[in-house]
Formats: sequence, structure tokens, C-alpha cells
Amino acid sequence: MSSPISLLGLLRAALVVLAAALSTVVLPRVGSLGPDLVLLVVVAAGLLGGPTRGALVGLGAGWVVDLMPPAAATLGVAALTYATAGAVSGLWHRDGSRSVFLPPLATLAAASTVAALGILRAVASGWAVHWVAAGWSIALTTAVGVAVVPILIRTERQLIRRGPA
Amino acid sequence: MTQPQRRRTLAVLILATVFLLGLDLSRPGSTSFVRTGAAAALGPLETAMTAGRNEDVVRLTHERDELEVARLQDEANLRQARGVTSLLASPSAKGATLLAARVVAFTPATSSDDRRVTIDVGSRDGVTKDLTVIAGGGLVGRVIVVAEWTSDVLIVGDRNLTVGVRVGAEGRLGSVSARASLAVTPSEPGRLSLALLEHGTVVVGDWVTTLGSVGGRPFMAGIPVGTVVSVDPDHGQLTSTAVVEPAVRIATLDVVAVVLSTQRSLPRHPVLSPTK
Repeated sequence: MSSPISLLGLLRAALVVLAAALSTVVLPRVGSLGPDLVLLVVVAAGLLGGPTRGALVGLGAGWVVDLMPPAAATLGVAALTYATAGAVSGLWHRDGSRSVFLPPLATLAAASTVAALGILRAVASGWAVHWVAAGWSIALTTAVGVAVVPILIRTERQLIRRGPA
Repeated sequence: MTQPQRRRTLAVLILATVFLLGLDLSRPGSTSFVRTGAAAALGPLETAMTAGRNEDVVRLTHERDELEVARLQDEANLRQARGVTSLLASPSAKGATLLAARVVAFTPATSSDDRRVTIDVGSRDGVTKDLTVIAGGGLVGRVIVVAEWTSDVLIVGDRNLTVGVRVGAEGRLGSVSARASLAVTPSEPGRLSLALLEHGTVVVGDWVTTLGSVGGRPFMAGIPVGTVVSVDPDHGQLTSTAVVEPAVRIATLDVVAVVLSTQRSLPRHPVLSPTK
């Protein structure tokens, strides 16, 4: 019974590490702004498993983001941010629903949460707030999420279905 | 895992995260083993994902310089390679040992506002904390985390980095950081803010170079930081402030060098001033 869960967990962990590495190695060379790839894995987990599962996966993914060299100035900030985003995306979880509108909505909500928490942190610390960058980040992440999140969900559903057999 | 169990796990993990975050904020050095461990595990992955290896770049750079087939090579790379060579020949780098490195990762724009890069040399190559990192154009930053094969560099433009500088031909003292001083409108992203220590005049076009630290750590003296592009109007701030364009373009950073040592090997001789 534990093997399908660990297989799914392994896939998620590999995807998170890959997405975090792509975000530090490849995306900055392409442009100054890019989609939040790690968040998409978290959104898929939240949509499939609900707020608690989303928050758990988000927390783990956030730690990978925090620790992926160059490591963040303050460890744990991304972990808590992505945990919140995972919980928010989990609010769109519907049992057995295959609606095509849920993934984009959940991605939009999660990306907005990450951006809002970043802005909140900047305001609280007295740093300059990059509104345009935050807007672009939400837009790009949602745009990529429309295509990627359904694929992730389908793959994870197949893994779950095949698991116990 | 049942739902209550999952909730409990989540609560414990969040508490652990908050605890670590608090620890990291209150005692910045205490969590360095976590960063070093993660960098040792994940750094090689990033190095592998960057096309072309360090040895290739160094070898090619040498070949390019020696055979003067430079124009056929990538122009950006060449400029930087030449810059490193010219920096090697500059008086401030004389006697210093440089270690060529390649930037393999940047802080992603989506997760935080930090400005850091990872380079593909580490403790095995002789890198230690607080060493100066330079590129062709000038100052890049200083090493803050060292793993076995990679190191993290805090770069000019990070809001936590302030560099002591000399400005203009007269060499006035000041400091450069990414944060704009009070009473001045924040400059656009990528620009730096210069504040003079005392009253004085800065003019557009003035060169800004590092002041230097004892033993060249974390900053060697005389490395170009940037040029003054505009002088802030007087709004009652204590000293003159200005906006500085960095000498190194961070977005296109590729080949850099870690300054391993600037230790003097020859004693300095005292001189007698002329009596007449």
C-alpha cells in the first residue's frame, strides 16, 4: 500500500528539484522574468489532494527552492510561501472533478498568493515593490500552468490508479 | 496517511520551518551547515546542466588569447576573457592569484529579490569565504557560501551588500549599495546608489572603484565598481548622493575570477624624506 505513495512522492520530488534547477540555471539566461515552475508541481498536488496535501508538498518544494544554490538570504521564507500557496490551490480541490477551469483558477490563485506574500514582505521590510515584475510573474505562471498542470494531474492520477494493483 | 495524521505532520513541519527561519534571522551563521550541505548535493547538478565545462572555457580562453582567433569566437565571452586578462595586468591585481570560474546559476526572479549567483569552483579549488569575485568589467561581489565544488556569491546589487568606494579623480570616500538613501527616489532596478561620506561634489562620468579591505578580504582595493550616471538633487540629505551604473552587467555574467590571495610577499621598505 505504501509503494504507490512513495512512487508518486518520488516523482514529485524529482519534478520539484528539476523545476528548481531549471529556474536557477536556464530561465535567468533566457530573460529576467519567467514562470514559477516549482509552483506548478505544488498546484497539481493541491488540486489532487486538497489543502493539507498541497501545503505539505508546498513546504517541501519551498525548502528545495530555499536551498538550491545560490541559497536564499533567509532560509524558510520560500518554504512557508509555497506551503501557503499549496494550501490555497488545495481549496480548488473537488472530489472526482475533471473540470478544465479548475487548474487555471488554482494556478492563478497560487501565483497571486506567492506574489502577494512577496509584496507583503517587501512592504514590511521597507524594500522597493516591483509591481510590474509581480504581475508578469503571475501572468506567465498562469499561462504555463494552463498547459502543464493538467498534464501533471493526469500523470499523477495514472500513478495512483496503477499503484495498488 | 490519514487526514488528521497529515494535519499533524504539516503542523510539526511548519513549526520546524518557522523555528529554522527564526534561527537563521537571529543567528545568521548558525544555519550555514544546511546551505553547505545542500550546495554540496545540488551544486554539481547545476554545473552539469550548464552546457560546456569550466576547463573548456579556460582552455578556449587561453587558445583564443594565444592564437588571436578571437573574432571567430563568441563576442561576449571574448570581451570577458579579455577583461579578466586586462584585470590580471592591472596594478591592483598584481601579485594576486586568480581562479577562473563560470557562473552556473542565478537567484530565480520568481522566488526572491536576492541577487546571488553560484559559481563552479568550491573549497576543493581553494575557495574560502569572503574572497573577492571579479569579472572583466570590474567587481562582481564576494563569496558567502562555499561547498565542495560550488560557491555562492553575493553580487553587487543585492540589498545586503554595501561596498566602500573611492569616487572620481580625487578619490573621495563613499559607499555604494542597492538601497537608495532616504529622501531620494529609489533608482531603477539594476542601478546602484552612491553616498559620499562627507560633503563633496560628484559629477556624471566619475569612476567608482573599491576602497579595499584589510588583506583584500572581502574586497580588494582599486577594482572598478561602476560609473556615476546621475547626481541626485539636494533634498536635504546629509551628504551628496548619486546613481551608479555597475561596471559589470549581471544579467550576462559568465566568466568570472575569484581572487585567491593578495598577500604581499615582499616587505615594504621605509624611505627617508629629503632633508632639503
